[in-house]
Amino acid sequence: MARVLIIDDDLLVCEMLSNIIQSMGHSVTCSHRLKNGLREAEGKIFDLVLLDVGLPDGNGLDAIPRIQEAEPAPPIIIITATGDRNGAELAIRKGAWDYIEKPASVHDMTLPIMRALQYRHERKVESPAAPKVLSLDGIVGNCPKMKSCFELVAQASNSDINVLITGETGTGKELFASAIHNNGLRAKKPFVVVDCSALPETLVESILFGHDKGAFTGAEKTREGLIKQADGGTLFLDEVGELPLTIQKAFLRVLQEHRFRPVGKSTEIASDFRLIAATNRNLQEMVQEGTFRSDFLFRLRSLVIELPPLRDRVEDIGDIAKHYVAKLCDRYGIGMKGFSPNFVGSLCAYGWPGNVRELLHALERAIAAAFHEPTLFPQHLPEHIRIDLVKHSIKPTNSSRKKTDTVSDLPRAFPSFRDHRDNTDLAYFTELISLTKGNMKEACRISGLSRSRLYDLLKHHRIVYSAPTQS
Amino acid sequence: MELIFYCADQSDYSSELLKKISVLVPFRSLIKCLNFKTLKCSLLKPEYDLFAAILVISSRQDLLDVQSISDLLLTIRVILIIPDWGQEDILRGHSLRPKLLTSPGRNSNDVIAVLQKMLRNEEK
Repeated sequence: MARVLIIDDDLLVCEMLSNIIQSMGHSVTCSHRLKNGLREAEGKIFDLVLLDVGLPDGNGLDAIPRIQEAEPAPPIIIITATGDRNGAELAIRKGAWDYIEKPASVHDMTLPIMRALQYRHERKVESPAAPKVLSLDGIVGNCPKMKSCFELVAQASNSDINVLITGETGTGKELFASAIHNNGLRAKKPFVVVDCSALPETLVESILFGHDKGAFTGAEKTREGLIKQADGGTLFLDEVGELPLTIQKAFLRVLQEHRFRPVGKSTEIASDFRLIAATNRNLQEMVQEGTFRSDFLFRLRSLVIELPPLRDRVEDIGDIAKHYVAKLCDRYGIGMKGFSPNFVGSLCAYGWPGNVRELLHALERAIAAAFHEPTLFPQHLPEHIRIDLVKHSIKPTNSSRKKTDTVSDLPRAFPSFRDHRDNTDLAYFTELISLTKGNMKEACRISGLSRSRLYDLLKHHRIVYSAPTQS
Repeated sequence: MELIFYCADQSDYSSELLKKISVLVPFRSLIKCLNFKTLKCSLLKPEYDLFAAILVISSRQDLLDVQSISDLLLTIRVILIIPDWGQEDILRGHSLRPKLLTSPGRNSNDVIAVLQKMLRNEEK
């Protein structure tokens, strides 16, 4: 018997879904508010969560990552009356199992529930008692997005399919490719990196495919190409979006047949390699622009791993910093450094456009700056980061603070998300009441809130209002 | 930003390569390491902001030495030049994840072309 959690404020839908699920022999828990639903999801183990989007106290889509924090994470089916393509895409991207638009027939509801429960059941059965421990050398991350990436690394390692790793520059695409190789069956064979962005167009063909002696001016001896050198192992095409169209065409054939002809040779040679490609570019867009072959893209993306930018996993920054500072201190033969209370706060407040690579570089610079000092302070960070942090900490409306803010004040100056939201809400409701002169009917109309919800929020923010006097 | 040029055993090839690199990279940015010890020290200097390392390998022991400090090389761009010895050494070479793995020939145009492209990419 499976346990299913329904989070939906529509009582009729809850009843209908409960009937369907109970008739399948499973147990159901219903929550009509997001907050209560999340409490249930965090307190008990569920095999499936059916989640509405437009709940009175929040958006269901925003709750997906929190529900997925559960171990093991249950599949989530989004059920919503406000179905739209973008919402459906967003739900799937956030990790939802399926997306159903209300009203739906019993049949339309039943099938995805059955499939999700079957998937969950099979995963339970198939999971070995002691799961394979992935070797993730150099990769640090514990947030739900990274956990999803690790799951995909495990899937990729157990197979030989082509993998496309996408993500902004510096997110660690090469480390992930290397992890797939090191955890796979080809681990003892070569891991050959081809940085397509570093190879001049005139050399790409001979470097990849190799060449015969005298094939072109300067080819003074026969040379083996990288594809052949990857025989038995993994070929990693980094920055694959930079590969010229002519080479994409030739490479497509190599992928299909695992045979190719070196430049200037009359005979073909074989190479049994596994392909992993990576890019920070939108290959789909490049296909539409005509700069990337659609058939090549189709071949590359048998499995896609999307690495999150560092700004989307701020919770990992402290762990990454600790890991690398320990490693760097060990490398330089200096004692482990401590962090000042506001050091990690400053790291978390910065946007890291260059992602983990930029963070590691900044830590290296910080250690160089504080070489014999026992503690790292924000002042040890590179200047451009400190300037950026100070700039972002200044509120344009409060000119007096501009002169006094320093980097060391940042963690205190930068509000928590809850404080920020409370302040924004407070400003909104103050203005609303001022605009409507305390007319609750008008305030409800403008805000789109029910009268009781508005009263609750005004009470929460301690906003005193007086109703307009009747004339 | 600095660029390391490592060559433990000088040859016509390495001299010509160094001459060509000197034209591309400002004098102060080029760190010439003529033995393994200075290579290791240079990689460990936190004050250096290393852009790339061009490593001309002269012997199997040299390759093994360089491989023993692969940790220090993984965060910078490496161009590796190893003599044509065979599959095992190529495998060792690839463990350093070089941007280019080549062998010394009559000219070093491939190394210079890749270095030029890397420098152009960095300027962007």
